[in-house]
Amino acid sequence: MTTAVITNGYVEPAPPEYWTLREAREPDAVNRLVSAPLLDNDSFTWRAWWVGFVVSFILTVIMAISILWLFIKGIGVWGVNSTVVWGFAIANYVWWIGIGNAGTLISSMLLLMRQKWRASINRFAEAMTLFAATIAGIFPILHLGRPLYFYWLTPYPNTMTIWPQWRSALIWDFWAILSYILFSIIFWYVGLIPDFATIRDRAKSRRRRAIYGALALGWRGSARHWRAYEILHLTLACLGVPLVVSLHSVVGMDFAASLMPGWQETIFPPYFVVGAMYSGFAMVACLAALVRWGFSMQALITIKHFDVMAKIMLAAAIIMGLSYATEWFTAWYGGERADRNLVAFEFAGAYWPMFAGLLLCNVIVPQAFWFGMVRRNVVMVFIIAVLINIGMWLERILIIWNTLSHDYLPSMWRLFLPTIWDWLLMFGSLGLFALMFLIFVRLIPTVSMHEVRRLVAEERPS
Amino acid sequence: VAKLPQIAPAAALSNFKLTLAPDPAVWDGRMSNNAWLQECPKPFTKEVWGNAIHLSKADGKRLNLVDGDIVRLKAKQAAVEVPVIILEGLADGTIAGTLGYGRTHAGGIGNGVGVDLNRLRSSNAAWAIADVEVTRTGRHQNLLRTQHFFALEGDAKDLQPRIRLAELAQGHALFTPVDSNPPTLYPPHDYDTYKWAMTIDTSACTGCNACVVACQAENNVPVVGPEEIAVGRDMHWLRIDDYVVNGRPGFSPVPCMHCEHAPCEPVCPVAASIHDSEGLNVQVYNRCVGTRFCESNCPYKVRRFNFFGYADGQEYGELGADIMKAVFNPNVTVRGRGVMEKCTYCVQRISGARRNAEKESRDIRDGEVVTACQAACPTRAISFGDLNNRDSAINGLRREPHAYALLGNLGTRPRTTYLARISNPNPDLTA
Repeated sequence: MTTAVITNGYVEPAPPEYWTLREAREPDAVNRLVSAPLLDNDSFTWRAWWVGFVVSFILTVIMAISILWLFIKGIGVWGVNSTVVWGFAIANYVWWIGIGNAGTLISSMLLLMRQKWRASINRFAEAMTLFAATIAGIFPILHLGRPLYFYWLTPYPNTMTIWPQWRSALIWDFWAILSYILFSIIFWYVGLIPDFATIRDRAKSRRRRAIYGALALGWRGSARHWRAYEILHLTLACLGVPLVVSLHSVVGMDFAASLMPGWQETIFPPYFVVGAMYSGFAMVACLAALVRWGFSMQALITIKHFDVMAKIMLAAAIIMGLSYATEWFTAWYGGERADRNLVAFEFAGAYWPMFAGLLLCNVIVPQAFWFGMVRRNVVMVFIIAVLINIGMWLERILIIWNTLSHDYLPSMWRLFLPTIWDWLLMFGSLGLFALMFLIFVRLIPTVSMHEVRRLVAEERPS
Repeated sequence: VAKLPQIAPAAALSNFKLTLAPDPAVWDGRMSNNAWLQECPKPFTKEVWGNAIHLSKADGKRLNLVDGDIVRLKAKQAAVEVPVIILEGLADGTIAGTLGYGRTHAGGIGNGVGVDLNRLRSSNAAWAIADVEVTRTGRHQNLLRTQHFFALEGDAKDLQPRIRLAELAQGHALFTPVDSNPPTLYPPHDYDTYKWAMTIDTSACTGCNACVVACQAENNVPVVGPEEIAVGRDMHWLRIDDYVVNGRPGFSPVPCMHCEHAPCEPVCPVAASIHDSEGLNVQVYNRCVGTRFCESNCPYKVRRFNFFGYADGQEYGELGADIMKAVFNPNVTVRGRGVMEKCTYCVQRISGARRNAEKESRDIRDGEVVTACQAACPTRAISFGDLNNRDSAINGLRREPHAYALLGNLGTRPRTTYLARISNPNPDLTA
C-alpha cells in the first residue's frame, strides 16, 4: 500500500505504515490502554459487561439443563431418526471447531508471513480459538448413544485387549481435536507470560500482584527470557500451521472417508480448512468490533484491521463459492445417479430455503467487501460477519441433512425435524462461549501488549 | 395468456363406491391388541398404528386432498371421519378401506387406534357400499408411516429391475453377475469354514410382511409405538421396499446385506461393527458407543438405533406385563439404550446348527440353517445357505441369469442378493 515516492531523482523512504492510532504509539500508552480494564476499575462502568454476563450465564444454565436431560433420557430427545442419525450435534461440532481455527491461523500463519497487524487481534482470537475448540470437543461426546464410554476411543490398556479401530475417521478426529486443544492452551499461555508480568508490575493490590505474579512464572524481561520466549513462540507457531490444517482436513474426512453421495469427495479436506478459516475470521471480526467498542480500543484495533480482515473474508467467500460450484460440477460430470439427485435435492428439495440462505450468506453478501467503504465500516463488517457465521452453520447442518435425507435408496429418505432440545443445546453453547469470553476479558489482557509494543517500536520513524 | 377463472375444487363428491376388506395387519380386528401387527407397515402405504382410506389420484385431485387430510364418509345414515392416503393404481370413483380398527374393547394396545369403518356397513352392503359421499373437512392429521416420504425419481428400474420371461429365455445378459465386483484396495477376506448368503426372489415376494414380523419375534426387536414412529424411528431389521413400475407393483424385502466390503465396518471407531470369519457383518452391542457412523455410511440404511431404552419398559411390546413374563427369545440379546442393532442373519440359528453338527462331527448341511424370515415366507422367496458348499442351492441361485446385487456398483459385495422380478405378459394383450 505504501510506495516509495521519487522526486528529482531522490528516492524518499516510504512513509511508515501505522497499524495504531497516534495516542497508542508509545509503549507505556499501550500498556495503559490494555491493562486499564483489568486494573483501573473506576474508569469502566462494566454495565454492558454485566448484562452480557447475566444473559450468557442464563444460556449456560440452559445448556447444562439440556445436557442433563439428554443424559437422563437419551439421544432420542433430539430430532435424529433412523435415516438422519446425525443432526445438530455434529453440525455444531464442525461449526465450533471451524470458529476455533482462526486464532491459530492469525497467530501462527500470519506471524510466519510477517503480517505485523495481527498483534492487536491475536490475543483474543487465540482465546476465542481455545473456547470454541473446547465447546466443539464437548459435542462429539454428547452425540454418542452411550457417552459414558467415550474413552473407548482411546488406546488405553484394558482387559479386553482391544484397541480403537484406526481406520475410522472418528479416531483421527479424536486425536486431532485433542492435540489441537492442548496446543491451543500452550500457545495461548506462552504468549501471555510477558503480559502477565506487565500486569503484575502495574497492579496496586497485593492479591493481584500475587496472582498475576504466579501466572507470569517469574518473568523478568531479561534478554535471555526474551530469547527463550522468541524461540519457543516461533517453534510453536511453526507447529501450529500444519496442526490447524490437518485438524480441519480430518474434520473434512469425517465425511469424505465415507461412501455417501455429497460426502465422498476429495475436495472436502481443503474445503473444510478454508471454510473453517472463513467462519473463524468472521467470528474474530465480530469479537474485534465488540472488544474495540467495549474497551475503547479504537487506537489499537483500527479501521485498517477491519479492512484487511474483510479482504481475507472476501477471498475465502470466493473460494467457498468455487468449492460449491466444483461439487455441483463433479456431481454432474461423474454421472452417478445418487450424486446428481442429491444436487437437485439441494436446490429444489425440502431444505432449499436453507440452501439459498447458505449461498446468500457465504458467497453473495460478502461480495460487498469489494467496496472499500463497506470494508472500513465497522457496523457493516460486523453485520456481514454475523451473516457469514449463520451461513457457515447452515452449510454444516446441510452437509449432514442433505446427504442423509437423500442418499441411495429412496425408500429410506426422510427429513430431519429439530426438537426444542436441539435448539436449547445449540444456543446454550453460544452462551457458554460468551460466558468464557466475558470472563476472559475481565481477567486477562485482551490485546497482546508486548507484541503491540514491538509493533509501535518498529513503526516509529527513526 | 388470459387469466383463466379458477375452478374451486369440490368440497364434497358423491357416488363413490366403498370397498371394505380385512386389514393386512390386524385382520378383522382380532389382532388389534398385538403390538407387532399394529406396527407392521401395510403394503404400499406403509401406514402403521391406524387405517386411512385410499382414494385414486384423480379423485384426490378433484377433492384437493393430500395424504393425511381428514374426510367425512357418509353412507345412508351413518358417517365417519377418516384420514386419506392417495394410492396409485386404484380405480377412480372407488374408496378402499380396511376393517379392524377403532376398537373399544381390544385391550391396552388396540383400543382407540384408527377408525371403525364397520359403522358404514349394513346387512345388505357388507363389503361394497354404494353411494358414499366424501366431504373434505379441512382438517389434517400426520399419518404414521415408515416409508414413502418422497416420491421416486425414476430410480425404480435400477433399484428393482424387472425382466420379461421371453428376454430371460433368450439368454440376454441384462444383469451384472453378482460376483463381478468393482476393483478395490482392500485385501479379500478369507472364509475357510462357512460363507453364509441369502437370496431373495422378488418374483415370489407378495409383500405379505410375514418375514417382517417373524424377524421381530425371533430377534426381540422392540415395538417403539406411534410416538416414535411419528419422528421416524422404526426398529424393524427387515423392511419391504415397494416399487410400482408401469403400474405393476413389486416388492423388495431389505434385510442387512452383510456386505463383504461393508461400509459400516471401517467407520466404527471402536470396532463394534466387524466382519466375522463366516462373512457375517456382526454388531457387538456391548462394544457399541453409539456414534451412528455405521448407519450414516450404510447405503441400504438397514441399521436401527436405540434412541431411547426401547427394550427397557416395552410398554408396547409386552402389554405392560412383567418383563420376565413377556415373550423374549432367550437366545437373542436384548439391546440397551444408545446402541446400534441390525439383522444378524439369525446368528443364533447358525450357532444352533453348528452345535448340532459338531455333536455329530459333520459339517452343517445345506438347508439346515433356516432364518426366521425364511421360515415365515409363504412363497419361499427367501433362501439361505453356504457359498463354500459348492452344491448348495444358494450357489445355484446366485448364478441365475437374473440374479442381481442391490447397489452392487458401489463395491459393497453384498451377501444378500436378489432375483429380478420376472413378468410374462401375454404378447397379444401388451402389443
